[in-house]
Amino acid sequence: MEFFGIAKFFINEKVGGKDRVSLDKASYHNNNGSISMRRDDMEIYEDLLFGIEVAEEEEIRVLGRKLRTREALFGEEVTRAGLGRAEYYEDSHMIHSCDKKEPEFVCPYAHLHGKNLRKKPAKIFIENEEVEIELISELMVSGHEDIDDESDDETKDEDEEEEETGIRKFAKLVLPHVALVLLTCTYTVIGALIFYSVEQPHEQMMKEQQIIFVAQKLIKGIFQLKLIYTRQNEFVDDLIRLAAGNETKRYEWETLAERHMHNMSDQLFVAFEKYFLTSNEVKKNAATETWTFSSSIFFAVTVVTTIGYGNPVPVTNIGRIWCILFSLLGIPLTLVTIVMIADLGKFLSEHLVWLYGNYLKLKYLILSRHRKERREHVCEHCHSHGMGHDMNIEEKRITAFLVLAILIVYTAFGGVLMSKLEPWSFFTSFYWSFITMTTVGFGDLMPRRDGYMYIILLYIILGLAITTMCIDLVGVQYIRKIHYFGRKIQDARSALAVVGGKVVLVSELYANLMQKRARNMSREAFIVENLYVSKHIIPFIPTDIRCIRYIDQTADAATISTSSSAMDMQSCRFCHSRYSLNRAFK
Amino acid sequence: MQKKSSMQKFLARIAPQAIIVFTLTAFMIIGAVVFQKIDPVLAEQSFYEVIFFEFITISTIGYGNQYPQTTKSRLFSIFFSIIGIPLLVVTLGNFGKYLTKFYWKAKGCLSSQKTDSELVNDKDMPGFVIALLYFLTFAIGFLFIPHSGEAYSIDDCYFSFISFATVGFGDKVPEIDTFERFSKVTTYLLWGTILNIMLISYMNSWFNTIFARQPYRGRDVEVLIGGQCITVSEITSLVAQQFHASPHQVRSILHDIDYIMDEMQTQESDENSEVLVQ
Repeated sequence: MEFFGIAKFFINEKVGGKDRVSLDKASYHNNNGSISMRRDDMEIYEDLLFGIEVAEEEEIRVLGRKLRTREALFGEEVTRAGLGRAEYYEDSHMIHSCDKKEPEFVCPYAHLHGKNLRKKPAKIFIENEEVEIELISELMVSGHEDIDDESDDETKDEDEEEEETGIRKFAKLVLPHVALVLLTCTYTVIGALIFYSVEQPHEQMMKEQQIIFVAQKLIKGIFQLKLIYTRQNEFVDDLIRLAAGNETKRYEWETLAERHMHNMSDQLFVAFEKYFLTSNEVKKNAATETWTFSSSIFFAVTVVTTIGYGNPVPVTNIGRIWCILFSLLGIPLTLVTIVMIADLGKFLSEHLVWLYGNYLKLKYLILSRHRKERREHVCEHCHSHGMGHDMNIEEKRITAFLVLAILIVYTAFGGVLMSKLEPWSFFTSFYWSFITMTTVGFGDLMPRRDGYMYIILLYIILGLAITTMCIDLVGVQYIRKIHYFGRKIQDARSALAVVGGKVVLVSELYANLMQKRARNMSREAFIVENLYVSKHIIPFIPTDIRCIRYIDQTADAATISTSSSAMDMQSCRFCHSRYSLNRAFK
Repeated sequence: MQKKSSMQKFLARIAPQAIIVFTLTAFMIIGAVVFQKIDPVLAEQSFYEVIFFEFITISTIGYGNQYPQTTKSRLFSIFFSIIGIPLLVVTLGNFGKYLTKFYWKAKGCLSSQKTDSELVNDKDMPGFVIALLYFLTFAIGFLFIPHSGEAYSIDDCYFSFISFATVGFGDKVPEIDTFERFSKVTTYLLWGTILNIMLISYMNSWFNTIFARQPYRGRDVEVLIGGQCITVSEITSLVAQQFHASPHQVRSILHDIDYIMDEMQTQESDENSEVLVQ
């Protein structure tokens, strides 16, 4: 594995017979198992390369606050000196004695690569001197995208047996994900069981109580339901009596109907409010249970996904307290799982949606037919490595539009599915899937809870992953752009560069560049070097850069640069070697 | 002069937030008008009740005591939530972030301990602070927020938590019969949702440390630029926008810089050897 980083460490040196402990910073580079380290004897943050003037002092101060390493390198006084480059050089010698106030090294990447922070003393040769170093912090950016953080011994294995590590790597990648899904499932099932064990006896008890209550209060009645049906019978009897008596006065009928209606509705409301009887139960003249095992699972899922239909709901205090505790841990857990599934989906679709890639190719073909045939140059070196003109290196990112289309198609699929399973129309089902997948969950429409419930749950969870992806892409990324309204990236020094697959700050990159050049040279030499750089680096800037605006360049200036776009074709699109340009100069 | 520029900076920082909040408000008002036009049931309700319904919808609480009933209004509610949900999520998320930043700043001011790294790294609030805020909020809800459940009992807590977590069963719903109550309840729920976002982000990072979810692709690596954490892919596309180029082109330029470095190094060694020869 190849990696690159900047490390800060203590050095124990013997200077004049005395131990000197100093703090030093060095960049290191690990290539093929050997670590080469370089002391950063100086760091210059110049933006000559990007044609930007020295930033205001305030800017630097702000940056200094952001990246405290810089503060350590040159304090405010130095930057105030403005153009005193020599002073930069003087002050940016990195060896500080320990009595100097050393701010804690804040590695901006540390919170992400926390795993890579190592704390072990090591002996390393720095400029042929053996020094004992203790890494206090390390910034590590892995060399390749796919190799993220494998320890060195694993890379050895990789050399020995590639296939086995392939499987192991795959397992390592997949196992935590599977474990997470399993954990969430188990958590939900256990939660559902607890809800079931708390709420079901209560419900049972309430219904039993109802029986006793009715038995005590009424002579005939055994059940509230029975009562309702006796009322119904009474009503019918009265009607028959009236009809038999040949009563035709409307008033008589109305009073009778009114009296019985009131009686009936009173009974129904009591039955509904106190004893949890539903209209279905009344219709079938049989009590059904609200809290069954599968409805508990359904409930638990609606809680952790925050859909919350509101049917069933816990009614006992214990059930409610458990509901709070359950959701407290369950909601973030489910969120992590769903985001993971969404990520997985994104990852998979990026590789599997070759259709989209083909679409891009087609679009390119159609567009290029209208334009002049433009082929980018491919140098012989790259050609020999099998990279031809027709190779597509276009970014195959899924657009927000595509995800939105997937969301709508998925919702429509839900519409079809639910209109088959439920007595709903297509649009009602469509509306239901949308309200569910955005976790609004009004509860005005509820899926049935029988054998199909598990299919519906699966549909909901997959849909949530898609919606998460969609909201993430459409909403957050697009709305976030409001942040950048009128905001320019004011200095390129905090921009990012990919150097040989490593991600570094441009300023750090430039510092490294300067350090490599000016090492072991005197101050004068440095200034000369610097001038040399400012004058002679520009011709090496690739031809592509001309069609691209500088950050501070205005739009009208950019139009001039397009005139040089004819040169674009001269540089190789893969290795960007400009041999053809050099040839042109010859 | 100095003051003015800092004032301007402050304004520049505030402006996008203000724009988002303004957009959201305008969006909700327009939405309420449309809802009242196309839904006869909602039209009977007062204006602020419709606003409350919209808020309940786009915050995904969805109590279900108010819901669209005609096909037209259902269609409109789909459209409304497609735009509204991300808008509200972003707004509340930003508020949560600023609250967290404010906490670290205040802590930095009150004690001598430096909190810059927490500020820069967008560190979450410590768990006990969130818990404390929750208790305070529950206490306020206990005293001032009317709902359909039994007052001064476990119902208060249950109602608040189920609403904040945007589960929203709808068995206990807030009472919003007057405008005063409406504004009280809405503020309470907004605050609670922000609190919940902070809690979830705290627990999320906690879970992530357990599962050690590493960004598996280079583009998902987060980097710190100008005090903001964004992913590599985002910064590339941003830079690309600035340059009016495709992300791929930007990447190729970065490769070019790499090339320059190598070229210069070789040149340097050449020069050195030349000097040595001389």
